[in-house]
Amino acid sequence: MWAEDNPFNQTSLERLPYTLPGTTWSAIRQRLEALDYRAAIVGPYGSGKSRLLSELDCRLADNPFTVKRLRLSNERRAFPSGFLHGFLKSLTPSDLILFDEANQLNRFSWLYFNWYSQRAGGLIITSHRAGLLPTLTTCAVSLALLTDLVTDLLGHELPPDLKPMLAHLLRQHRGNLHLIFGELYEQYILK
Amino acid sequence: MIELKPVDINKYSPFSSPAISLFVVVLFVMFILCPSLLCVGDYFDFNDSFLSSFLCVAMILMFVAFTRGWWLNKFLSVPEWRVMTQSENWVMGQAIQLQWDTIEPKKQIQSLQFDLKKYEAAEDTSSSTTTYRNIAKIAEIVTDIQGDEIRTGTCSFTVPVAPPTFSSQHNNVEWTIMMTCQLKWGLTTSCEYEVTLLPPLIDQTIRPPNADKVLANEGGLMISLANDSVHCLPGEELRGQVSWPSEREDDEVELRLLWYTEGRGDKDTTVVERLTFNLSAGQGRFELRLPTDEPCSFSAEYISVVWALELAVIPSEAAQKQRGVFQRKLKTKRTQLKLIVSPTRQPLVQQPEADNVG
Repeated sequence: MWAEDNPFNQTSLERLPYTLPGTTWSAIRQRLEALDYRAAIVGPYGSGKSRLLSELDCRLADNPFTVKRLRLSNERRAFPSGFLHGFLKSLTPSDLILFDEANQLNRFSWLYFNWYSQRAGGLIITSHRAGLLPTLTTCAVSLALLTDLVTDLLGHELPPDLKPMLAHLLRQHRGNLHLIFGELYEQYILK
Repeated sequence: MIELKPVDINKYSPFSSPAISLFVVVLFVMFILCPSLLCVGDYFDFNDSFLSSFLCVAMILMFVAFTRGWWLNKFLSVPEWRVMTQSENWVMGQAIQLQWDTIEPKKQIQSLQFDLKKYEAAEDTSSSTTTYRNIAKIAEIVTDIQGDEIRTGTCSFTVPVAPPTFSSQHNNVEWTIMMTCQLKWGLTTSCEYEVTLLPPLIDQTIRPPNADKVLANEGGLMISLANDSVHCLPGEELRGQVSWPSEREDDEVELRLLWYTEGRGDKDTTVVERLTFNLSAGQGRFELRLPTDEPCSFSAEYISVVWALELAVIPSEAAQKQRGVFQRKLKTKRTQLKLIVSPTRQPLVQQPEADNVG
């Protein structure tokens, strides 16, 4: 199967509608307001934290906030020298920081960032561990969610042999959707 | 004739050699197994004789292992290669002649083989940055080698139709020709040379398929193509009509001719041409010429290039501001008419392995 026909290609994955993990947008909004817009989205790798952060970006940008995004990853665990100082200095109360993978910052950098980011109107982070900020919501992938997503991608009911395979993949990759979809992509190349 | 640029010179695989494996086994029996058995009966002074000789051999082996390439070259007489061809840019369907010779001629060559290899590298940055690679052997060109003292040779083959060399921000298709040489004692050595595969020449005689959808209609946005088919040749002219519903006054209407990648990695998009329309008109006509210097439509396992005409109604800043608190941003409404832009009027895909001539 060629790349554009593969149901697990990046374009198809991006088109998937986002499903909130066991909550509603109004509940998220109320919780954010209760936490004064300083909160963390917590969950393991590939559980949809970054996707939820992007959804929040679409809902909060310009209205009422100006969103400023930061991102770290396994490959880029720190910002370039002097970047954080300049960034934190430029913050105003109308800014909302969305910080993906804030847990990559070391303890000292996080304390520094957390303190000076209070100049901004809000800070929402994603993290693999709880405790950096009060938890807004916890992301996790269940078999029911995975089945729904794969059904959406295939556009039809799951073939009978795929259901046990999804359960196996979910266990094997500990709920990491990136790895699960990656493996399904490889399986579909051979079809 | 020009000399091809090597990607990875003299990549040895000594453990594929039965002779070297046998040599390692003999060393093990001589210096470890036999002395250990003899030591049991006190016939052999393990500490003084065996350990010192074993350490010496181990050190020599480690030294050889660390400087493997150089030693193999010097003592096993692995020759250095030079491969020449008429051009680095190979056009699909073209007959290519490869000429090879050894810079340092030796009497070692048992057999020689060329493999045309495709590397697809797709980078996914959605979570952490991961590059997925797919390597496929596309064609095999075997050269017959007879006799002992082989220093030079030629072989020819026809470049198969396949996804061409391609490069964008997150996706790459690269091609190499790999020469694998069997030497004495079962030792193999290989050299890889970078080549550029170009799409075949435009064939004006190929007619487009008859039953073709030349209309896209989604959410009131419509693209209607006056051409007979969406299977186009580079350089061809596209003519047609677009229409859209006018909902908000300040929205912008844009028709884009674009190509994008689809597959394992991030989507890379290039807008080749943009036409803007007056929203209140509700419809418009367009004339575009397809470029000849952009990548053509192709499909591979990890990367595909897709061409499309896209009609988009972009919400204005004012409309975005009017949305309620915590409501999602207004989306750009769009419809796409997929095109196939290729010299053969079909996406270039990898053909079944062709018969190649030695």
